[in-house]
Amino acid sequence: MKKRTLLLILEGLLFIYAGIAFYYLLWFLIYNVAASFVFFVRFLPYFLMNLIPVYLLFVMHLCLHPVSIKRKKLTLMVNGGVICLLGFLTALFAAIFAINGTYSSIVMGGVTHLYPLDSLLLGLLYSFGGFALYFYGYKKYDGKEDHFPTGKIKQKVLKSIFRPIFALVALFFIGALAHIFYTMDYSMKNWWEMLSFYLLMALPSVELGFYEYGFKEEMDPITSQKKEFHYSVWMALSALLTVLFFFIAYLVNKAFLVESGVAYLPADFLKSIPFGPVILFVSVLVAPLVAFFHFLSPSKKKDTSEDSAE
Amino acid sequence: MNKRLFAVLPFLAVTLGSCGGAAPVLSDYVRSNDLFKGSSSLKILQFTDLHWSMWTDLTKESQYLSGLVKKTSPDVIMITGDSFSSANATTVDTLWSLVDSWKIPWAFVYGNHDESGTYDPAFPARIALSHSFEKGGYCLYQEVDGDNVYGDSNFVINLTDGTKTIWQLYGIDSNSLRFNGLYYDYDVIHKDQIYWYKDEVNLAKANNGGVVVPSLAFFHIPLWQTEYAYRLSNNESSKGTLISSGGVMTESVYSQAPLDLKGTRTYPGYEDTGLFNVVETLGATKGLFYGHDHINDFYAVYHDDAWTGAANDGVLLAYGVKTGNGLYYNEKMIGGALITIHADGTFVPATDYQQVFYSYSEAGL
Repeated sequence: MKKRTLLLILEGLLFIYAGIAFYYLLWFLIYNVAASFVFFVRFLPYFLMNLIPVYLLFVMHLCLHPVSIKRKKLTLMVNGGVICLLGFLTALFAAIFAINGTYSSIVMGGVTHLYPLDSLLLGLLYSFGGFALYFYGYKKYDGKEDHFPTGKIKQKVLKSIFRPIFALVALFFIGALAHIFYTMDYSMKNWWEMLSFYLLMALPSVELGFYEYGFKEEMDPITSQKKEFHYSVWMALSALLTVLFFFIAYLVNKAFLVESGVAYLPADFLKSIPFGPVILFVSVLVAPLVAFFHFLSPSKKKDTSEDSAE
Repeated sequence: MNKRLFAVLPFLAVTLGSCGGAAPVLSDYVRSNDLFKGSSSLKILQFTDLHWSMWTDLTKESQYLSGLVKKTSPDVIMITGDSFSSANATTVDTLWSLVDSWKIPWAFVYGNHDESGTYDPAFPARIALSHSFEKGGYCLYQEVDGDNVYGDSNFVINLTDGTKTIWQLYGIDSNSLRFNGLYYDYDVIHKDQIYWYKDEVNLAKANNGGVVVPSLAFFHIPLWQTEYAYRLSNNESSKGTLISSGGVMTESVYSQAPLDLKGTRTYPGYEDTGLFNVVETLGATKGLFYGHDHINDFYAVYHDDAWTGAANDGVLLAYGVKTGNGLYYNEKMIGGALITIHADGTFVPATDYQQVFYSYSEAGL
């Protein structure tokens, strides 16, 4: 197996792990907002423990798709240092809180079976891992090659804002979906209605996967353009069908999400507002439409030639 | 995870197997407990809105609850919903095991947050049922699967002296939310639940030689009559007649309230489905106890047009006192409510309903 393929598989696995972490991270933040942040300091190690995998995923992605070798070195060094620091803080706070009596013991449990011991150990692991990344970046790349892209800055800035937001939506819902064996309604009374929601939750990750591993990896601009067209058409159709399926389920049984989907939508049921479905509709429909309009863009040929020059 | 899957398979088998079973009957919802045993009265402690989450300090909160139970020495504990929110299996296991460890008969009803956790919606009930009397525990909760009564926690506890039912306690699921096309409203006690309640009251009466069996009802989301009574207590025009009242309403104004209740500080269901009217007509239930609004502890003896009793009497409508520091709270308004019922069937709200405020400092925490 090629090294790059292995790294891409690793990124996929990290995506699921980071999704689970992000699901808990967001739930923790939402609950803290409702509870005036009374839990925040006490569970700072927990917060950091769930933040680091998400951060690590973004770092890994940047390293797998660097814009230049020097940028890759900088990415590894700076972010390796940040992960090292965050990991150290996680372990430090877990140790302090266990010693000063904030926690009843080093394995008091509750939030996880081994909390805060797991935070302490993971914090140390992340800290060492972060340092290793820093060191690897420092040693591996000499920084002589320095070719920063200068074209299409506006588009790149927009992408750098909206793609992470989309990725976070995908992460949260794949994290929620990963809990299906714990959280699904075993009475199965709303099984087909919930199926529409499970598909909807999975779709942002599928779209992201197609984009990242589908045509983005393609070096030939013509093939890439064709793949982008196919992607946008298939994804738009899939999204429309899934949203339609969801609406049919809702029209048949308006109570199905309230009865069986509470665990997947903590913010919705804490604040009585349907954030989740709305965010999902927008996300799954907008992404393929953007890809489709990008394909139709008259400057496409010129843009792809610029891309290949990079 | 495989272990969990295997754990679920018997449950699935039971669920599927029950599909072809006989239709549930009224007695399926009833558990009897010989609690009076010759004594003249019983004390019921109401907990509400504990909101234990996966981030709750389980040790501290357990000590707090145990202290409150020690202070009040109840004979029965009723928990009126939102015991959990953003919880996990450990949270549920810990709370139900703690409550059962006091060796005091107990039951709970679902609130609108209890299903919000990293478990399936039926998990809190399943764990509670694992502590039932049949299994050596003290839980009186009952749930009838595959029935036509909406919701889950609809049950009746017959408190007996020997074989004679002296009092009944009704657990009614006030459900959680209803999507109105734009946002979620709080749900209501559905009509079919009210028919079920009516049938149970009538069955108890028939089994008692045609004499009404007195009862109390416990659920989570307040009824619209709470707001009517509150308006009357503030000398505003409203429906019904207020006999007496106490406590406060300090929640913020409910911006999504139904038009008829604009400006209310109660957070009730989206409509009045008529439970209070039926309660008045049947004349069995002396008090309705609920929670939901953490910093409201208003209570009132109130009646409306359907009232059949004495003009200077009514039904007690009472918010519980929020129990513990889960989610948001006012530190001067936490504890529980103590309800005393008498073997002669009497219940006098002025003396038999007591708010018990219990702070963390009093608990030594």
